[in-house]
Amino acid sequence: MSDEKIQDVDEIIYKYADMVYRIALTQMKNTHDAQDVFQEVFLRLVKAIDTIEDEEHAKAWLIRVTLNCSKTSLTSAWRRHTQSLEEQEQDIAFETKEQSDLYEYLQKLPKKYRTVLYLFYYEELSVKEICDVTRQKESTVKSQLSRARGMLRTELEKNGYTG
Amino acid sequence: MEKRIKDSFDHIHAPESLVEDTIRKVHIAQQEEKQRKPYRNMRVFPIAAIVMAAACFGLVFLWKGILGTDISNTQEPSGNIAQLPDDTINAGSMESEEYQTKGQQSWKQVLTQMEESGETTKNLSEEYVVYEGNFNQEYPFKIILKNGVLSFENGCVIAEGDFYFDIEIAGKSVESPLQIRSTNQFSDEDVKVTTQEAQGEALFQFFVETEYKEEHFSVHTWYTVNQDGTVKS
Repeated sequence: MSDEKIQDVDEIIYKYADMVYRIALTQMKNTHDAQDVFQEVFLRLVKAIDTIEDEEHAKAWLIRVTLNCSKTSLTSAWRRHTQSLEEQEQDIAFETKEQSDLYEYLQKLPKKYRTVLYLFYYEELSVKEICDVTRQKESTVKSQLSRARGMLRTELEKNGYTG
Repeated sequence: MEKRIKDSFDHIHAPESLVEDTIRKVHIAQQEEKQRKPYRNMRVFPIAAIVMAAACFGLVFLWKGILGTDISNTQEPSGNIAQLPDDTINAGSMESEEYQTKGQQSWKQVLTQMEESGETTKNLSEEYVVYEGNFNQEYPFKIILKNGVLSFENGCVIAEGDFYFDIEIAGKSVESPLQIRSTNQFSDEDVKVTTQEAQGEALFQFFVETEYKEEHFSVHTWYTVNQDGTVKS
């Protein structure tokens, strides 16, 4: 592996660190496990770096592998930790109560809904791209998005937030 | 809603210490990869040297044939020589530590061979550890596939055969056959993980997965393991 490659992996880590961490945290709901997943993803990247074609491919690869690693970690009984929302929020510096409340409502949603909401709204992936990375049908992703929006809206309204 | 969601996630950042620690580990992994390569080359070098020497030997025979020796005698050695590199190199790779300890790596190797040869099914001649785990850092366990067959079906990789659950309890290894016959029999739905250790039983969720060229398939099922290590399906 050349020095140029070493540089490439470093660049990818710096560029996508937040994205990978956010997805891992969305999946794991736990900063300790999210950090384990984060490291696992980039260590896997070392072995796969020669297969990465371009930036777009790198992003899609990282999203898919983060989701897969999280799934593996979640189903591993011996690695399971629990962490309350309050503990999680101590690690995140929210500016307003609304932001912290919204994060809490998002974390309460089922995992599949959290995933599509994050990928659609934050990473701005199209439905087609979400289908590719999550290996789901377009109709499934669309219905998950619609249900997730509905559940989040209900939760916001219930707690006095409008719009 | 879009703005609210963005604002909420905007405040989540990977801790700097985590990024730095990951980069350090990545560099170590890259160095290890780098060191492994010359070792692989060393293993290939004697094979390449033998092949080259044998090929020269074959050429001499062929040359003799052109000069008037019976050509049918000269074709046989060169035919044998042509088979030498593939078999030898494959056997070497499969026996390396890397592939013996990691079942997933072995599958990858077999799948690569299948793709290269255009085969759609492959009988696995060896036992493969498809999953290795450690329950509560106390009981190491493995899921083993015996008499396995790997196949490509509609773009998916399917493993079929005899699956066994092998757990080490009090220094003793207990192997129990599992009911599953195919990775197709597992469900891929999200399952909530629970572990029950009451009454000397542990409920395990098996999650078998492998990755091949970014194609990921995963399977999971539930089994109850008795205190003596035997499995209750």
